[in-house]
Amino acid sequence: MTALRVFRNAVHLGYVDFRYQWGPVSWLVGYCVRIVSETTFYGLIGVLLGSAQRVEYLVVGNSVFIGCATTMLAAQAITWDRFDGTYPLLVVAPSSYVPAVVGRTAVWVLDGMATAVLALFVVSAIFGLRMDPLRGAVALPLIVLTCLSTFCLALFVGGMASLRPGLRNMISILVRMTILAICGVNVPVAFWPVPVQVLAGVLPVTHGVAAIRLLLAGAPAGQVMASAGLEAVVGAGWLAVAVLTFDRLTERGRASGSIEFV
Amino acid sequence: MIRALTGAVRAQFQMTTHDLGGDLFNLVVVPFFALTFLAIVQQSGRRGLLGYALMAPVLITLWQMALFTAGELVNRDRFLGVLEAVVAAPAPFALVMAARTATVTAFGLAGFAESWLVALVVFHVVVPVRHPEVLVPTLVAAAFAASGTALLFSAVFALRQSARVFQNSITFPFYLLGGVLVPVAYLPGWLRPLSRVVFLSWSADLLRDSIRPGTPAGVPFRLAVVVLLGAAGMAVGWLLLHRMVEHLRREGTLALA
Repeated sequence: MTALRVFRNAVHLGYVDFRYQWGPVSWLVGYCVRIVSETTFYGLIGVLLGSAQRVEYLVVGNSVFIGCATTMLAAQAITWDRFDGTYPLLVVAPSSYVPAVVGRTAVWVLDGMATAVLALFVVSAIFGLRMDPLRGAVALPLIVLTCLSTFCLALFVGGMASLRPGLRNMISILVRMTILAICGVNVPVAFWPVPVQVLAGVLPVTHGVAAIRLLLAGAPAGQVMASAGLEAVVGAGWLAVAVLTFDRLTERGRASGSIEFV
Repeated sequence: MIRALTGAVRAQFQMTTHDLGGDLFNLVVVPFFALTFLAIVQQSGRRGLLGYALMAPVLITLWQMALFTAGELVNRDRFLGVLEAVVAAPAPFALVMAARTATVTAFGLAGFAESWLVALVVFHVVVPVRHPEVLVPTLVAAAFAASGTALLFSAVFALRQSARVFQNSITFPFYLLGGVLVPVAYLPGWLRPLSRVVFLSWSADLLRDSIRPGTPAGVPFRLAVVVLLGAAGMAVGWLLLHRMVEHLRREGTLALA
């Protein structure tokens, strides 16, 4: 029950963080214009290449990616407790650190989901892509799943970045750009050499975006579910690694008395 | 005047080269953009468009250096508590800031080499430059225009902290409008006039022309437009910075701003 209460309060704090950055107008006029432009930018490359298939591939991939990129902001948000000076208090509190950090950063995964859905439907309309309404609706839980598995990776990345809070933006953006390049967002994973494919296979987005593509192409439900299952496994794996990392980091800080000096 | 200029350039050069993770962060992102764009084109089999994919990261880097690094100089001085000293110095504040933004933005030109290296090392592709006499002046003009725009950003972000919330939002809309990868001709007709007032669109067309076989037309005029758009941004930024400092001096609130 304590963990739940901590999580609820942390979610509220995350909401306050979010509202400090964005109001309804600035989110719609500023952020939404940017995400629609970004997805349109990639879709337009398909037009340049003269292939309707490429347009669809790029729009779908980048719509999902933009949601995951937004979710990755959670990695930066994890380090904010260091700047606020609240990290040592969270570590010494009798409750676990995990619900506090997951709660405070959960707002970014919600933002990511909204962003991906908005980009997919708005930019598909811009390019006149026809989407079966039922398949479009079924794609929503897959988008949620992909953003959640990205959130699990963001927790791990944020944990590591909290060792060097000054490098948080660089670390988070490098992870995002790697996902953009190799995880099947813009070109099939098979395009890359095998070692890169292996890396892509253990990163979020790869299987999630594949599941969404299979769904939209009308593939059998089994194939879609298999890809979605892999995405869930990847997310669960990163969540486990993230929780272990948090435990190790807090324990190490306690043991060496270095909590405040990182 | 010359001493103030060279001093500002030298000081900024030292600050930037000592802050590789901060000021030069945008250069770390360039290879990923190059990798992504080149992969899209390579995978589609349209090798004739590889040059487009190669040039786009160069302009993206210049824009990001202007927006995220050079555009933050005044705010950073304020944060470090040195803004008062810079303003109180006898050298004109706007001149010093113009020299510093130009120095930071010029680092963005390294994006050209990075992009080229990614094409060579990862994709074993060499895109021949058929018109170096177009390429080199275009890169210089684009860097000048980016630094002019950066001075404008610097003034706006210093005057209105609330404007910084839009800092992340004015990247891709401008890459789209500026036709950095896909030429402006592919945009809807109603958007094209807007793109003509963005220096990126003129620069992108010139850069693509520099790798095409035919002789590019109207190069001096197009280069002049890039320079003029940059100069216009610089003039407005200069004026805004001058007015900001005058206002803060008159009110005695520089340290409190």
